[in-house]
Amino acid sequence: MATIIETRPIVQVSDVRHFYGKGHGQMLVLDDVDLTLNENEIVGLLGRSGSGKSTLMRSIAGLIRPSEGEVRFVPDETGRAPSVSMVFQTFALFPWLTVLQNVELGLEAQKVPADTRRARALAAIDLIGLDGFENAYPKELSGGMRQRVGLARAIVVDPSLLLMDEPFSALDVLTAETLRTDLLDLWSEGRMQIKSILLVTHNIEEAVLMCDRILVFSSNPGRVAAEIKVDLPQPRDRLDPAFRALVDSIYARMTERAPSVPAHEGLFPGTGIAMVLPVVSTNALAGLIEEVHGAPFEGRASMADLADQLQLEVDELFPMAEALQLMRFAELTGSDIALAPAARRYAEADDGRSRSVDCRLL
Amino acid sequence: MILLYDQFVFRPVVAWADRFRFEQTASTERPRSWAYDLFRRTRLLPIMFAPLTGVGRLLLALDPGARQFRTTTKRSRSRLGDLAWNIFIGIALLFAVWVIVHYVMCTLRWEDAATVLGLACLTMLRVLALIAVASLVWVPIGVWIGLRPIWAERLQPVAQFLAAFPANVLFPFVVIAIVHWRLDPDIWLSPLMILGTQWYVLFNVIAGASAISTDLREAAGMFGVRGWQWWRQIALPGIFPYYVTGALTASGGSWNASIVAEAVSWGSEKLHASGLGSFIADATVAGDYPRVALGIAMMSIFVIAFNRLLWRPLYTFAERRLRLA
Repeated sequence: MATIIETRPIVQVSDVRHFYGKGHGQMLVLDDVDLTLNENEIVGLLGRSGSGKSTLMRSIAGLIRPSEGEVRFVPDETGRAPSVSMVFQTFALFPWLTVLQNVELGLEAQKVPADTRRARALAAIDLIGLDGFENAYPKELSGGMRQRVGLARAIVVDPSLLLMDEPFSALDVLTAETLRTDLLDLWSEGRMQIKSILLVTHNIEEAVLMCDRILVFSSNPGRVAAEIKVDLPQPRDRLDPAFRALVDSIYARMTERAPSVPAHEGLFPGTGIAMVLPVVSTNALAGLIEEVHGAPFEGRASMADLADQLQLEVDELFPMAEALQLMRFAELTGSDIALAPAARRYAEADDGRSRSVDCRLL
Repeated sequence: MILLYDQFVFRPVVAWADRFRFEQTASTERPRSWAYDLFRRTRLLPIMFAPLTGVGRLLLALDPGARQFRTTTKRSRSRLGDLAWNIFIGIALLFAVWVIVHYVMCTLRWEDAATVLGLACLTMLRVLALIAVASLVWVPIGVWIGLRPIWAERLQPVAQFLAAFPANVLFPFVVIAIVHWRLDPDIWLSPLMILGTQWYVLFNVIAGASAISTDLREAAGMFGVRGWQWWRQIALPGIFPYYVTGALTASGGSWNASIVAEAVSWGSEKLHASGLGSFIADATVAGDYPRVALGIAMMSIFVIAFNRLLWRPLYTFAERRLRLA
């Protein structure tokens, strides 16, 4: 089974910078982003909300023209330019069209004749498992089914590159898991004509589960902080030690401070009056301290385990952890969070003292 | 005056209302208003509005319905109440109809009613044709503007000016033109009816186009949907409920305008187009009250029938088919 797989590039993104807004209030959203997408791979863009990954995806999709830089599509052997298709986080189905009409949308735009159109659409609907629902309207479908329709609509036009913008984040955990495995099955069996998939997500485990290559984005402004190759064989097991180690290391990578901030010996990074605290509720901070203090962590926890235990996403956990670090209640080392003595005292004290400690620091 | 109104009232309200857009993806262009930004930064404004919010809270506290819990006995009692109210309305309606018919029949005969029916049909044809023409012209323009917030902002004062412009001012020019070129008043007086009301179509279509959610527009862009397919599958269904509102309002306004637009005089020139509006206008001038009553009753019947038979079904269709929720 040691076949050499072709890795020709499909898309080349060079030095892309993008500003949001106009005039002196404009924000730099993407800063000198370089990336290459090759055939036969699933690439993940992983980052927190607001790190510019959706903007980058829309630049590749052609919906946004970046302020600076170039997005180049590399023609294949026959000289054809790659085509792109997209699956949306909010499904973006047209409420007044049936499932069949929604799926036929792209084909109709390409002026495919009616009977071919219908046949291809029915085949795609069959492929994603919604056989029998052709004449249903989107409002009659559940979230998972709607996203399947979105997927069918995207793959029926036979794109070279499939873009997925946080496709499973609007679904519940079980439905998302089913869709992920279904998508991976279709991909590995080669039943879709797609050559490459770009997946934008803020779920670290999803990225490690699905992607061959993960690009970690930092925010403010958005740039590629790290590129990680995932060599684990499919199907991947979440409980596999190698899997968990990789997830941990990515957590660590994402909590790393930017190298431009000097780390002083003996001082927590990021001190100073001018530092802005992340917006987190004090209740949440108190809860986090108590959680880390109690069993089974006893004051020191790995971020991945903590997120699992508390059912939190990266977006929610990281601001809380950073706020604790800024207030000197905890220290972030690698992918672990360790409580400082002040936090331990807080967790062990009763309510009265807790409140006063809270007030003292804020 | 309109410029002041635009800058200090309209634009801030639009900028404030942007927060109510039901969207999942943030659009890159948002309406801006310097007056709104200024208001938000002042501390005087909440103080100024404090009496109003105080009164609001007081009313809320005093509202009897808010505190009582409905019991089943109350429910059956209110149903009886509903029934009694409906019967009362029904009787009052029948009485009113009887009074009108009695008053009219004193001096007129059934043949007159038949004539008026014919005239009303004529005016109805005019209204329908004018709404169709106005839609053909303003729907594409409205959609174009609605999809581009920058242009919507720029054209707002212009649109407000045009809408506030009293259409009656143009009547004399039209009369002169018709007389000079010996045009048929039946056809050429009609545009006067739609002059003031076509803006309702435009404004509602602009609102409808800007309400099409960003991810639907992105999906359409992604799959390369263009031209007639784009209109048929995306723009027209998207603006449909808004368009129906605009067309309904415009047609109602045009019926009203027919009273002044179908019989127009300027100086010694008198132009007359046959229709219900001119019938009512002539009867008013002649002081023939039974005819006036008949004409107005006929117009009311027509407008209500339109409402029930055309606009209502369109609304239910839009509700059922064109919404996601």
